[in-house]
Amino acid sequence: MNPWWSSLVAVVVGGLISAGTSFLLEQVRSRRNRFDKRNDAKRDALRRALAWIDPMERALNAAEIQVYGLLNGSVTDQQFRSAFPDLLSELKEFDLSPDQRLVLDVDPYPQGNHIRQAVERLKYDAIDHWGKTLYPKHSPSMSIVDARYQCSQTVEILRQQVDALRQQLAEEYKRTFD
Amino acid sequence: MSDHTAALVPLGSGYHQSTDVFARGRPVDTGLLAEALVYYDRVLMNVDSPVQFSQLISWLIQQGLSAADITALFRAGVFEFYYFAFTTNPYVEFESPERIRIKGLWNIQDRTMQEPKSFFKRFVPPVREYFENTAQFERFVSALEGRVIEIKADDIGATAIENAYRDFLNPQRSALMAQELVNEIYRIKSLGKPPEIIVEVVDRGAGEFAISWNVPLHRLPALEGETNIKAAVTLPLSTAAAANKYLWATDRLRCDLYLSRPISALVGDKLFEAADVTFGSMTKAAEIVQELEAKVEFPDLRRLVNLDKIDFPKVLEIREKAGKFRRWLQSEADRDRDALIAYHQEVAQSSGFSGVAVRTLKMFGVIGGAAVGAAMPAHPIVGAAAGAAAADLIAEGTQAAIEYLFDLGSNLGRDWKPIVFGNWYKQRIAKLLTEEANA
Repeated sequence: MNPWWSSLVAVVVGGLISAGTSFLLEQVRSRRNRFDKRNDAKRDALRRALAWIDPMERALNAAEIQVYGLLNGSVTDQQFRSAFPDLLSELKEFDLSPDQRLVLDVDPYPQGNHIRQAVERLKYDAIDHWGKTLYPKHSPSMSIVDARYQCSQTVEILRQQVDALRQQLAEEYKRTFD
Repeated sequence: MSDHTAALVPLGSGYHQSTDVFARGRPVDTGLLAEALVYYDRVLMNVDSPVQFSQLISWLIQQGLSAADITALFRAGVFEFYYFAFTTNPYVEFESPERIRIKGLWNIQDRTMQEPKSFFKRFVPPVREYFENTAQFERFVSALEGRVIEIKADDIGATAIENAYRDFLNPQRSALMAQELVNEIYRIKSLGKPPEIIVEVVDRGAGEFAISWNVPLHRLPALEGETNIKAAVTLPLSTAAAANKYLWATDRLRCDLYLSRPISALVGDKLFEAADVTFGSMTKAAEIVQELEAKVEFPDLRRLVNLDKIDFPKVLEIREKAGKFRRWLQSEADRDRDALIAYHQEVAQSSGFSGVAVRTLKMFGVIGGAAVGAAMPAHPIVGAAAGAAAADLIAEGTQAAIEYLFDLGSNLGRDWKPIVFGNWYKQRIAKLLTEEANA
């Protein structure tokens, strides 16, 4: 074979390899950038969602104290209604925007909303149980201990749900560094 | 004042209680707990050791309660724990297989037991493994706060065990106590009619006694394996001590007792004796401490739970419907026996147990409630007459033992109107006390 042809082929092939490598590296870099941006957005959203946990735990503790106060007769039903935690207003400032919800693998919004609704329902269940511990007079249909148990059971289940939510968010947060 | 909302429920199985459960290799009688949950708003559980507590939590989880349920039950006060922070053990020396020298009965406390809140150091750490995560376990521990009653050896003093020791050295009482244990072993092992136990006690002086039984107790078959119960002669003594501890606790708490066999018989005898000694009259004692037996169409919850045929969620479902039983117990004024029978049938049907076999519900104690309270003498005879009676006993060196009876009896029928679920027949103790009085 003529030597100048082989040199030309070598130059062309070398150029192609170099261009291809640059192209591939650029692709990888671009994908990495996109991936990093998405992970940054995910972390922002997860940090915001993780901020729900503290108000939820505080609300559950406060709710339990208020429920026990009502059932034990140390607070009136009026005091109970006004002192019962308003979780919705506390969570409002940590609400996720629609685009933040879209970047997450699992949307935590329904789970968080379910917990918020359950805390609200506990308020009305506690009032209902409290009524049963008082009436019919002289032979109430529920003992205070049983009413406390029903409410404590609800609170414990909610605490487990908050734990599960925290764990799910924490695992997803860790995965953003993989 | 007794309000019959709470009962002390000893759950550890052994030769002195829940012997049938012990024979099946179960360390705790969760069936008894299930029954007590139906009849009482609050259940004060008692087990002897951290291992038993750990096994109790494990069994509750295996029988359908979640960690959240158990935490909620403690937090609400449905479950509480009564902890004797000491062990009561006979001090024995094995002289030969046929012969044991019993040197005394002692309340023993180690260093940890002496510390305040020792329950949390001894009983709680071993149960960590049953909780999925630290947060769940920490919530369980926080729910236990304020739900554990811890009794030190100094709180109870020596009177309860002195009284048990005194009974043990009384041949007739000792025979009565041993008979209950022998009956239970014969019943469980299907050995036929148990022999009548006769005990002979010889005072050797210097505080030593030689005690012999017509039936060699150490040859009784063990329930937990193919062997004999080597230290069987100490069992009547330790059972009597446990019975006295339970009565001491319920007297202080003004609560009821929920017991299994054979300890229920010893508790019944002691309650009857306390009434007899305090009020100085067998008739009065019989008026105060009564038995109630009722045939009810209701599932045998204890048996079904111990056979794993009913789980705890079902028990809690029955409990929810059984408020009527609890109100029946709590309303001392009108304890209509027929109403109790009807309530059982109603609750059984509404819980899906129609056409179940009839079982006998047995309880004893101050069943008469308000009626007994009204009929009580203004003062128990702890004054002159009993003083004279006590003086004789004091002279015999049994002051602490008799103090215990007066201590129990002074509240009985007044502030404390205990009801005890369990087997007991008063005939034998009444006969024995009459014989002792006539001797």
